[in-house]
Amino acid sequence: MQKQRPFKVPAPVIAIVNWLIPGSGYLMLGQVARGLTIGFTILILFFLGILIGGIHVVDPPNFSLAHGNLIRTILEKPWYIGQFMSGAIGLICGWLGPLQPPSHARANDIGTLYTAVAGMLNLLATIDSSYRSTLDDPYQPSPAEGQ
Amino acid sequence: MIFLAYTPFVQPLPVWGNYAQIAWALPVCAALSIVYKSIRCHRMSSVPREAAVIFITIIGGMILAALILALLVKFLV
Repeated sequence: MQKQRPFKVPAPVIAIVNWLIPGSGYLMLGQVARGLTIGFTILILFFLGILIGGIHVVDPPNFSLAHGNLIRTILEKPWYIGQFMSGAIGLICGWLGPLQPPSHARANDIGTLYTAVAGMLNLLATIDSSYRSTLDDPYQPSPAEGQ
Repeated sequence: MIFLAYTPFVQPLPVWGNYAQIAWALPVCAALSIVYKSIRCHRMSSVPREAAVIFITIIGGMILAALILALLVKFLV
């Protein structure tokens, strides 16, 4: 029996909502188990990262010092690109993080890695959920699915 | 007493300085496996088994790479 979607939502809206709250794009498509699994996994990984390295591992570029060279300023802290992809939690930690004392050495490395990987996984989920929203039946296997 | 005055999420976790820190690779590999297989698998009921397989594959691959590099260091350097 073919399941029906609760309501039709445009792909850009799904992408933005899923970026803001990991897994929520799937919830809007009616795929509750997939959305909760992906969302909780990404959030747990992100929180584990800031638990290991402290919240200062989310350290956004300082655009007030860019002097017109935005690309160079962003590339000075490329790990924030991944952390930014984790959505609202990445933005909030990027706002609060620089106010806290920084960590160093391996704790900082591992915390940065965890938070950036969480963001990259959220990017993957955002692309997949927005693609599924373009399908007539999002419950059908997409080309990305192995089985 | 290294946990004295430790503030979670503000200060880094004071658990460093031994080989057990290698275990911090496990959560990130587990999360990667679960999210990747949640996206790939059509049925969510198959995700735990598929994620366990890819998790073991990643860890096994890392151990194999570490052994090969250790042997290279031992015999070539």
